[in-house]
Amino acid sequence: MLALGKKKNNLSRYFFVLPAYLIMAIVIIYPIIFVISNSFFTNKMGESVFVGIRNYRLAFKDPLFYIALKNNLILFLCVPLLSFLSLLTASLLHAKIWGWRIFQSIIFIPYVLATPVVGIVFSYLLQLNGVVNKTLEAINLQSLAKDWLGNPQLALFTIAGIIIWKQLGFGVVLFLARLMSVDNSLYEAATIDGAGAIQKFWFITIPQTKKIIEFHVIISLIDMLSWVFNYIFVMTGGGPGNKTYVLEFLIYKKAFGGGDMNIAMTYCVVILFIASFLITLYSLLLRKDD
Amino acid sequence: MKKRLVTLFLLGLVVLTAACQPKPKEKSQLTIWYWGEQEAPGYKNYMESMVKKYEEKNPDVKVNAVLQESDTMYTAFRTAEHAGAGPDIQYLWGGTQALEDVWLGNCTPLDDLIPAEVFADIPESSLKETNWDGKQWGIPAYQFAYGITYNKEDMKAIGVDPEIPFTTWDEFLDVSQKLKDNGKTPIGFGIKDGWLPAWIGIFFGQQNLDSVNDEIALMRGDKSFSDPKYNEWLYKLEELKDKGFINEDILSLDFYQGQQLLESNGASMTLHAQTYAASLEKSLGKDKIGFIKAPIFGTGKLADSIAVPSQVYVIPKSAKNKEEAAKFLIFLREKENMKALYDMANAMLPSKSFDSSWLSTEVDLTVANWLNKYENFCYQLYFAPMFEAEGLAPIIQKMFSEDLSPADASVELDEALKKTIEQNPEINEAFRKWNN
Repeated sequence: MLALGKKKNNLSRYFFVLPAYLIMAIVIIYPIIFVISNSFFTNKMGESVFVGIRNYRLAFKDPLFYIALKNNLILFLCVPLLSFLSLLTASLLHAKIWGWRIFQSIIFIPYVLATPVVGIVFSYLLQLNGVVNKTLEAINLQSLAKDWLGNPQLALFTIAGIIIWKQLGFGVVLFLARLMSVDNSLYEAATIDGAGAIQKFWFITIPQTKKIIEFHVIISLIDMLSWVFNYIFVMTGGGPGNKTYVLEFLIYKKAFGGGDMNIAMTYCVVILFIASFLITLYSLLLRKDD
Repeated sequence: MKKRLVTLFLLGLVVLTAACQPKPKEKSQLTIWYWGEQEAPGYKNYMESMVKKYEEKNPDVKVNAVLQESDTMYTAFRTAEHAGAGPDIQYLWGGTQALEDVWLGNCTPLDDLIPAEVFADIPESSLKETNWDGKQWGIPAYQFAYGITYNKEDMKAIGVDPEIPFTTWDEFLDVSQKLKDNGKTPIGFGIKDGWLPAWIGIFFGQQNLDSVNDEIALMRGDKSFSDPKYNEWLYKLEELKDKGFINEDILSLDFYQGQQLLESNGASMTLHAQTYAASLEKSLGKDKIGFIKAPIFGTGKLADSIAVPSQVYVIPKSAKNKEEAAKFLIFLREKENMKALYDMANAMLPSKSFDSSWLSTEVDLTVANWLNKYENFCYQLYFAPMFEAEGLAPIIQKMFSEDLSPADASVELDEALKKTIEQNPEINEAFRKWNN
């Protein structure tokens, strides 16, 4: 009788979590299965035809895939800089430098702006004859005036700079929240011991925010992999000469520009694997810390 | 108690009466996703007036016409079709650009929906653009000629005949040099969004061809861009670039921003659709705006050809109201609506019953004259599927951003073509079938 009651209890536990599992299955599991299975088909006059691994063969043969992957990896390199700048800014704000409240708001404003708005505004500002270059010329710095988005060597780095500018606010808020919970006596003791600002930052702030740094790095890496489409679409359209393609943009172009939904799904699977790898890495880091 | 009973009785009576009343007839919905305002200013007003008129004529129909953007027209349609939720009528650009969606299975043939006598009124060259596998998939929305719009005042200032400033390539270079010497930017282009390269191809790329078969052989991969017949225009483009005849911020500007340099006096010439040039003539005056054919350098039979393609309407496969959609498309072809299209959007409907006495601008009269004199051929209509987006656009961009030489560009164009053929075997099979 007791065993039956326990069994019932066990079952009821599953019953209560069932809705959550169902929703997860509908919004996550089903689309993943759909995308993976469709990556093995092609479209012939609206009919799906099984083609085995042909889409993968074609996808990996396409030079655009490697350009896009390389650009995503270049954007990954921005992540340490973004995390460092966020932490540094958060530390300065936490130290309550003069005007910190105003700076806090100003730094967070770009984060709440819609990405297409940011993209459109910057694509006008950064034109060859745009405001930025005209201002540089006006202050006798014409040598610094460049075709920021039209120069193939500069375009991706310009976009990276804009992404860092926009995303900085998120990191600052994240680190600031953690810093506010750090025991102030640590800083006071360090001050008594004669530690300078850099030493405090290095030996107290960084170790105390280690977990948040890890979180921020992983989240930012995933952002750089799967949240940069808007910037590319609005500011360069993948150009000039395909130089700013990223994987997301490649998927978009294949699916809706070229109408090849199945190849696009193949690239989706590739991104899924990369993102899964990053998430696994994060989980491992967390486990190691525990 | 009695009071309650009476109230209940009355309530029941009201419910019964309401239930027995005939239901108001639900309006049939017709959704149209269209484009055109960008190249034919006034098209939106025209479409809205057509919708109003059609609804007045058919009170049981509610028409919902949505203007699309250039960048998202195809993507929105393909996404909707993939989800089985497309509009009832979709606007597409002509030639392969429309047939790609036929080959993707996104369209319905029109033969069973639109009577043969309607098609009989449309010139065969227009119908051919979207005729595939013996079926008609698209019906022209309007046609326009490609031409160079120029500032007549700038031409006068350099002592050139403002009515016919150039005919040959050498004359074109001479005019451009004089404009440059006079402090003007001769040509205004914007290449950032990738629409320009196909336009340049239309003006210059078709000049060495003898017939459509020459281009088809190239697009099938049977011929090479390295052949001077197919790449001379790349050298011509390089010449314009190297001589400084094109605005220096070409890579910073989108296609329309490049065109707008003419209106803002930032350049003396640009490429335009006839519809837009006519609207410029109306707004800026015929003393300021001129419209001319591409300068000739080619030696092919199509060297002096003009490109007058048609944009088309298709009925998507997922359309819920196909018969009503067909009725609306036939309605647009009624003579007074044809005239409304011209009056409001400067656009001509390809129709044997189009009355040339309606033509009211110098630009349109010039084009009417061209149509009588020159062969109509449009290079872009026969591009292999995906070639423009994945090959031509980025490679021509590279000629400006990386100084890619015409010879290297030719090699890259061949490779891009090979890739698009290999990556889309089913679509290319249909393309070959179309061109057989």
